[in-house]
Amino acid sequence: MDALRYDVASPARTEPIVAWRTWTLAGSRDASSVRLLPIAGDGKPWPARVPASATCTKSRHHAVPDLDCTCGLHAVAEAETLRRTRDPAVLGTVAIWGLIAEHDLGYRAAFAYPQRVRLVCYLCFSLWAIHAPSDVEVVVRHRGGRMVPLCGPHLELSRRYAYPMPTVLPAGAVTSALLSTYAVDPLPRP
Amino acid sequence: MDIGQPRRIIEIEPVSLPLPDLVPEPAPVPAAPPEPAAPPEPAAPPEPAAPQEPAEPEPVRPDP
Repeated sequence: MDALRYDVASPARTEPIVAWRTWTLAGSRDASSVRLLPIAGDGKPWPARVPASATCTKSRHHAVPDLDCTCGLHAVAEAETLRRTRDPAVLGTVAIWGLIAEHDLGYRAAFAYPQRVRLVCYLCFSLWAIHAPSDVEVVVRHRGGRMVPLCGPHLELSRRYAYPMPTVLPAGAVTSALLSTYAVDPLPRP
Repeated sequence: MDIGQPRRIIEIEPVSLPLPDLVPEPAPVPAAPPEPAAPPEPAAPPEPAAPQEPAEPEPVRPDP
């Protein structure tokens, strides 16, 4: 490893970096229990009320994250970078700390915990990223627990085109469960 | 999530973890301990014996 690329010898920062990321969401039929899950990766839910910690599935012989690996909890510096995220359900800020691989557009961290979160309609997000014009109105829960938030206009569109919606929950109930599960604050609209 | 090319490794040691101020989950309420026995009330001082009325002298029957 190139020694110049390691900066751990400099005085350690004492404030976590606050970055952005998206998650998918899974929960129970009545929305009393919900969990954030990574969009990609091992699919393990983010633990509630304790930090998420990164592991490397490729090698046990290097620190996590390693500069030459892809391991670590991913986050981006600017929310706009998330525009191309595939089917997000939750947008939020996340505090990251410990060893951190700094990239051009974001980070891979050893530890992380969500700070503020908001449900997002994945169809709006693909069009407008964080500047979606409509609020999420419902959350469709699929068999297996995966939850898909939808805004009013996209709910209507989904009904028109017979998008399967086994269980439709009010967005408020899911948001409340999410905020209380992780004990975090809502992310205000921009 | 596209985070671009890696630059360097840094380390952050937060003074306090950025976790929410957690209100501990309410613990299951343990069975209420038996209430301590009430301290025995001090024995009431014995009431002073009522002064015995002098027995009335039986009337002496005169011998027939």
